[in-house]
Amino acid sequence: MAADKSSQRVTLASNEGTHIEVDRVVAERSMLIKNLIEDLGDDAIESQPIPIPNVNDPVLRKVVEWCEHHRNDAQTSADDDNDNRKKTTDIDEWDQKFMQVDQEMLFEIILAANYLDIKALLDVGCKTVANMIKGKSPEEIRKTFNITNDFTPEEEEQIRRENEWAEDR
Amino acid sequence: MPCISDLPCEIIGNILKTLGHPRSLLPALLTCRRFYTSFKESHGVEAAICRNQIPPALLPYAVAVAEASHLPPHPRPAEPVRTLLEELYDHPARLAARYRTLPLSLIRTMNQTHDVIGDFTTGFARRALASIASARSDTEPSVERPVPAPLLPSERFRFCRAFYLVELFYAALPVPGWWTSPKRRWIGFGSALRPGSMTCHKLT
Repeated sequence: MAADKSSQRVTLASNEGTHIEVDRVVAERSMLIKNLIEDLGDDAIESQPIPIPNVNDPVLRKVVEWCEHHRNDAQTSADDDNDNRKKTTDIDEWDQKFMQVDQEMLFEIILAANYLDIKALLDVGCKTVANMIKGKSPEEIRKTFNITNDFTPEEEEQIRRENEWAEDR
Repeated sequence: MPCISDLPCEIIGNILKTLGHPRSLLPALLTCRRFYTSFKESHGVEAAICRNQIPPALLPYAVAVAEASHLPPHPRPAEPVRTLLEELYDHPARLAARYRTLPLSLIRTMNQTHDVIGDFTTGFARRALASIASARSDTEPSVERPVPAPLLPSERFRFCRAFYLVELFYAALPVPGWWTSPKRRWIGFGSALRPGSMTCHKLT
């Protein structure tokens, strides 16, 4: 008979083959894993690791660290997203420190959160990147993210015209 | 090694939605083709930015003002105004939810009105607090003049709500000759309400 859900442990396998053992409630912060466990059944996850083929070991460990910290948070629904969202600049202090990583790791975390369907972590990642964009000129944004300007002057002018309502506010 | 351009359009769209203020949108769109394409392909980026700008508690008032400005023109029948006010006071959440159905042009106007009210609130509160501090130090010279502190969120909400209600009054019941632009209206209203220009009458 399967163990009580709150005490159950599951093993996650990164795309490098390394295994990370976590509490089931922690793993279930990921809707992808939660649905997978429901589909496979309790017995299956006790006998074999859950493969996470799109996420490497350092990123998976980082994601697990976030899920451990937020294990007791309420899961957000689509309605929460629309009606009860915090102000865009609001990022929890712990999350701000958690996201103090290099850009490569930041984008890896965002991609992993998207793949694993961890909406709250994806939101924190998007807000972190948005905060890096706010208040900067196009050139400063390009410099921050090492982006090349691939617009013609005519295209730039067209975008300015289309969005002039948002300018000089 | 992923970079920002490797993120799917949907995620770049989500990043744009959390920019916080419309003035950050244009510089982001001018950065590169990938950002602009993501903006075009993501639904509701502008509406989400504007929505995030307005605190949830003020959203029913903002929607009420926006809808009031689009009620049938003068002479305005009383019934739609009454219905709107009942909705605001009895079902604010339902009224706030109507934000999702507003056309983008109205959302932009709504956001501009919120900016004006926000600026006006900040300026009015600063002048009012400075006047209070000045009056106190005049009557009590030993008291050091305090530096006006920024408004607490709850105070800011009450100030903004009060100004939204004035805006709603004039949007729902337009007065001939009243300025049509919220910015001009509030500048005029602000100078009339400048604390230093107000006269206090002693009750007898």
